[in-house]
Amino acid sequence: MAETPDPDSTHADTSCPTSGALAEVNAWFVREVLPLEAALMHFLRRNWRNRSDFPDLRQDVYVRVYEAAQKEIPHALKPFLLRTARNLLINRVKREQIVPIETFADLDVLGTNSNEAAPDQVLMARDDLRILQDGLDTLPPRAREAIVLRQIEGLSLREIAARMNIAEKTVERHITIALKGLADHLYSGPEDARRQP
Amino acid sequence: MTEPAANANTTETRAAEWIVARRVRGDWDAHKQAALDQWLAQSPAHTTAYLRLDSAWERTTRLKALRPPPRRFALRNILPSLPTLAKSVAALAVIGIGLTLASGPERPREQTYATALGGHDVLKLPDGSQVELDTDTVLRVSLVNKREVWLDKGQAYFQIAHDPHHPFTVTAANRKVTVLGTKFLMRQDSKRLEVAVMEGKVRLESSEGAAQQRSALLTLGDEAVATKSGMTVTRKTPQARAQVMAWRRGLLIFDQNTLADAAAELNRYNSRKLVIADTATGALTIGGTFRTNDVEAFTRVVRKILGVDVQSRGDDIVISQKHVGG
Repeated sequence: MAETPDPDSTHADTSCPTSGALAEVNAWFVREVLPLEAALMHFLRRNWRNRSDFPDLRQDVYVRVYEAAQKEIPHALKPFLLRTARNLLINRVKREQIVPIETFADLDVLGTNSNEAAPDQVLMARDDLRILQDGLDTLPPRAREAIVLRQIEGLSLREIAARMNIAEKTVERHITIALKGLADHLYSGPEDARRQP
Repeated sequence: MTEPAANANTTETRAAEWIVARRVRGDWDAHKQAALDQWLAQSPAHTTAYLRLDSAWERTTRLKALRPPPRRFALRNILPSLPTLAKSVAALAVIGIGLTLASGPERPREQTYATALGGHDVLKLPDGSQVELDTDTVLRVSLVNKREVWLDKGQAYFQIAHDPHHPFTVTAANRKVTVLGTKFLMRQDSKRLEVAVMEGKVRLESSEGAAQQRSALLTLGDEAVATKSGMTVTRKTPQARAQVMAWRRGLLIFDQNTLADAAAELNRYNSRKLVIADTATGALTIGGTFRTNDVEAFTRVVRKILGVDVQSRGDDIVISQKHVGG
């Protein structure tokens, strides 16, 4: 844990990495960080009441982790990610002077024995189909129809528009909504992260 | 408090729009790629949101292979394997009154075709006939010894290839339509059956009701409405015929229809249901052309024109009359 950089000091980084290094960080982010989103959201749910803050908090955590990785890829990623989240929450409490949250006990539970990311990834690969199907069921009907026609039927935008009797622009909007909903389902875990309307 | 979350959501929406533009729209070029690169470089928030959604998109692509084809598309896969029987089978059967109706459990070689809520499909039969299925419709087809289909629910427009030796029958509940070659519209719900003839002649038979009401020969412009208590036939104007056929273009046309009827029509196509709060509101009349799937446009118009109150309640949209004053 000690060898990872302090997450709060990283966003001052102004260095501009080469595109090769950037591609490496990008691949790392997808491969290593995204599978931890379920753990991150679990942590946020346990420690933060206002769910409408979650997308913003998640974005802030990802930005800090991503910026840190541009300097140096963190070794103990999961503790680093959760510590970043904890620091964000603490800063937010201080800044907004809202009623302090009671405990961050969760962090230790999740943080200590957690450097083996493998189980998360194995689980994810096996359950993709089920999670996707569940995810489809949570989408608004038109968004669901659009993404099914596109990703399962393989129809073109024009064909989908004709089939659904709507403008192509509207199809795109439905697909956008579907993609966001499915990403939440795939990464945040099935029982959460649906945004509030 | 919600301001920061809106920012993250906005970024995410923009990232999703880029992905749709690049992966779905089909006109991606170097110019657009440069614009995307520039957007990504603006902020790590952009990059991470984009990476997250793009990898989610990849995963949905990978899952395609694992999914069976959905039911409503099965019809295109099944059809080529159907024998071209109407022509190849000798004139075994003579269609007439007294043949089994839709109640028998044994119906050999029968195919079921269904559309989902809001769905719309065209079924081409091996005999050259064509059936266009409206929303939430179930049609069974048996072409083994004769040309026979069952409309279990919903609405369909039949364009039947002429074949004097093989009458085409459509059975709905306990009523049967027999034709040689013609175009007609049939709609079946729990309360009634409607048959509207657009070309040629159609014989409608019923196994219920008084003897003189059991059979009717319908010609161009006739519309028969059959209920439990009997059957009425009226002559439709061309305008009224266009109105009942508008769904084939994805439209609903209302002309002095009650709000209750109009809402019921839209509800046939959409999972977001319109609910009319009371009978007085339902009795207001409305005209106009609407997309079958655009509930929002409909509610906008009724709110504006009829001055009614429109409220979301869960998945429903409740329409009521505003209470003016006290």
